[in-house]
Parts: sequence; structure tokens; C-alpha cells
Amino acid sequence: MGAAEDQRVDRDLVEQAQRGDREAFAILARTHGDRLMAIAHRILRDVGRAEDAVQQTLVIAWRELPGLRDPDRFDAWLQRLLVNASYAEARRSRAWNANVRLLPADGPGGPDESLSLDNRDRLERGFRRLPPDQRAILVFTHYLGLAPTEIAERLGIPVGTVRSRLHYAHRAMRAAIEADERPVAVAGGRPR
Amino acid sequence: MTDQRELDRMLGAFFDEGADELADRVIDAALDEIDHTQQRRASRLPRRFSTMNTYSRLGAAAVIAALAVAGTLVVVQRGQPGVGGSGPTPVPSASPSQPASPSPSSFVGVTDEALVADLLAMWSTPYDAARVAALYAPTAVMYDKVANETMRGLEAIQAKSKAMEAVEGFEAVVTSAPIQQDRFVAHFLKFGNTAARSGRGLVVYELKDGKVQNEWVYDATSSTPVSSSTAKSDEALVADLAALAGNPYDAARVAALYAPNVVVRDLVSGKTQAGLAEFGAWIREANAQNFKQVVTSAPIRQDNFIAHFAKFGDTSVLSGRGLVVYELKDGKVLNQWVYPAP
Repeated sequence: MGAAEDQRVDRDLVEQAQRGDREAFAILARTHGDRLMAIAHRILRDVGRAEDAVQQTLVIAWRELPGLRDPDRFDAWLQRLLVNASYAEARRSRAWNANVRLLPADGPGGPDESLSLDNRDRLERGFRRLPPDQRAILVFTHYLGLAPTEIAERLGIPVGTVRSRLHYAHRAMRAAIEADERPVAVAGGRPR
Repeated sequence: MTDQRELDRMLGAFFDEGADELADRVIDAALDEIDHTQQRRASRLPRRFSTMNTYSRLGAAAVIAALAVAGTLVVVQRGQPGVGGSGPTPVPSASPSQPASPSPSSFVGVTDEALVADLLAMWSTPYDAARVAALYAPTAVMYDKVANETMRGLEAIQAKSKAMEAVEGFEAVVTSAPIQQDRFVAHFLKFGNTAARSGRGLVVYELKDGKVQNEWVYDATSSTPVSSSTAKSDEALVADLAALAGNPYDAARVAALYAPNVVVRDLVSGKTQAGLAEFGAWIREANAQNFKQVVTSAPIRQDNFIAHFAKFGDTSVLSGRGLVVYELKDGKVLNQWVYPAP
């Protein structure tokens, strides 16, 4: 099935769901669920919280769906709901989960050609220190591959805000990579 | 210095890793909740929040928090004491056009049916000062145990009820039949506003001379993904739970009913047990004193929360009457509260 056909099917399902068809909404939820989970998990860095955010998103989507004026915008609209739900999930627990993965330098997976383990841990720590709105911008930029104008439209914020958040997020991530050149402690204890 | 191109490459690799599949149980839980959720009518969909900026939205949320109670509302904050113990966050409530007050025929053991029906209906109808005055005693006190606010006296309750009228899109829906023990009546509800900022609560009224003398609103927002699937019916589960403390301690039986990290907050005795070991010690103590608990109402449910009234054995461990509330996770009790209802 081609992309155009997919979009037509989605549009039909969205219109049915807008009229209260729960079966149609269930199909939409299952179709879009994995994508929502992938985004939420990358923002929240925690499977449980990501699942909570996705569940909230689906329930809110069902309730608010009749107000969606353009069914073709369903995917983008759903992602906006997800980001808002992720913000709420983040606010709910201000202390971000500190279970940063620490592996020995010569870890079990062998050398990672694209990203060293040290750098991965530094990125993880740096990312967890970011506020949720900057996290979301990084995920939309580097995971979904969207341009600032597309992100602005999708999240309903000014493009200048997107660029500003992206700038600060990049600066923080760069600092996280460069600030800690010392080897990561492995023995037992929790990461700082 | 890490240049932008290198940073982009590293972030791309960083985000390549992560969960890519949503568990079926999450979708099932969402669909289960949707079965009980009314869609908002498009023509009535308020647009104000969708065009507000973050600060305005937070400000509006703060106003709602400040107005908590009155007709009444709870803005839930995870981690604060209350029936939920933890957990706030925005889950929508049903459409204001679909008040869900149970009909009198659905009442569970309620003897003041007309009064209770009026109280429940008040959640979904416009503020009416005379109506509030007819239902609440002049000295009535309303406790929002989540927002930690107290309204003392009819005028304070009326003022808050009236103020709620100014909160655009606020709505509350009664989601369970009321249950009763002596002068106490309880029911679950969902509440919220149009910004998808909402929550769930448990409301308890103490009635006297045909009016509300005291009212408590507790948080009942699930701290875990909502699932209605339990291995047993609510009635069977509640019976098993209630029987535990009245029978010789059986570790396997307790472990089958309670999560390892269960927290039991007993506001009657003022004691809290955290974890199966502490809870087991409490059960042994109760056993030694021939403690008994009798369930005195049908259980009512909202999402992962089950509540029922009970009477307790006259021992030094616990005695009197109370409202027992369980939060379930995967069919086991994750949190339990016992509130006095003397």
C-alpha cells in the first residue's frame, strides 16, 4: 500500500473515529502506538513514564478528536498531544530517573563504531539534565528529522522558539560531551 | 571542540537506541478507558486553551488549583497525601453534556437516596446558591485533602462553588454509584477542564440532619497504567483482602494479594506499613489480638482504585469504622489507605 493510500485509509479511520467509532480509533491507536512510544521514550528516557504518556495521549485524542478540523493532520496533532503529555509526565516527577546505564569501557557489546560508550553516557547524562521542552526539540530534530519550521507547526509554537530551544539544547549537549573527559566510574554505585 | 556536524551525528546515533514498540497492554488499557470516555462535541470544543502560551496555560492551571474544591475540584499533585497518594496529571473527564450521575436505582445501600442524588447531580449542573444552602449545613466543612485546602462554613463553600463558574470548561463527572456506611457516603468522580488538565478523586460526605456536615475530596489518580483486568471480581478480591488480617498469617497468601512494595497507610491508627515484611508483622499483631474486619458496602471502582466501607474489630490494633481504598497494579494492591468513618 502506498503512502497516498495509507493517508486515505487514515483519513477514513479518523473521520469514523470522529463520529464515535471506537473500532476505528482502536485501529488508529494500534497503527500509531509504536511511533508514539518511540518518541515518548526518547523524550522521557523511561519506559514506564513513556507508556503513561502514550496512554494519556490516546485517551485525550479520543476525547478531543471531534475537534480536529483536518483529519489529514491527525498524525501531527497526535504528536503534539504526546509532547504535552510527556511534559506533564515529566512535571509529575521532577526528579528524573537516574538509572543511567554505566558499562565498562570494554563493555559487552564491543566498540560502538558510531558512538563511544563514554560519549553515550555523557549524552545520556546531559540529556537528562535538559528541560522537557528542549528534549522534545532534540528528539523531533535528530530522531524524526524535522526542520524547525515543521517542528514549530507540529508543536504549535513559534519557529523562533524552536530555534532558541534547539540552540540551548545543542549547547548543553556539547558541554556534556566536552565537560567530562575523565573515565566513567563503574564500580557499583549510582551515577551522579 | 565538537563541531555541529559531529554533534548532529552523535545525537542521531544516540536517538537510534530506544524502545520502538508499544506494549499491547498499554493500548488495551487506553481503549478500556476510552470505553468510558465521552467524546467532546466539536461545536462545544473550547479553543481558548489551545491558543494560550505555556505561561498562560500554567497560570490558568494555577487558578484552577487555587479554586480547588467547591462544587468541587481537586487538582491532583502526585506525591501529596491523599487517596491517590501520588499522581496528578491530566486525564480528561467526560463531556459536560453527559452527566453521569447514577440513577437512584444504581445506588448501593444508600438510605438517603434523595439527598445523595441531589449531591451527585450538583457536580454536573450550574452553581446555584440556594441549592448549595439546601444541601450543606451552615457549619459544613469541606476538606480538599490533595490541595490541602479547607472551606469552613456555608458561605466559604458557596464562594468556592461560585468561583468555579469562572473556570472555563471545568467539568466533573460522577463515575461510580455511591456507597454508604451509617452517616458516610462515598463515590468516585473525574474532573477537569478543557486544557486536558484534570484528575480523578474520591469524595466522602458525612451527613447530619439531612445535610452535608463534612466533605472530603481525596486524590484517586492511578500512579500506574490503568487496567481494569484483574484475575478476580472486585467483590472476591475485597473479600480476600479483608479476610487476611482475621486469619493466621500466610506469607504466600499475602504475597498473592499485595505487591512487594505495597504501602498501607492506616489513618485510623496512624500507622504506615511499607513493604510485605512490615505489613506481615502488622497482620501477625492483628492476628494475635483477634482482629476482625467486616466489609459493609459493595466495592466501587474507578480505574485501578477500589473502595468500600468496613467495620473493624474492637482491638487495640484497630477499631471502629472506616473507608478502605486500594490502588491496584497488575491485580495486586500497590497502595492501601484506611480512612476513619466513625
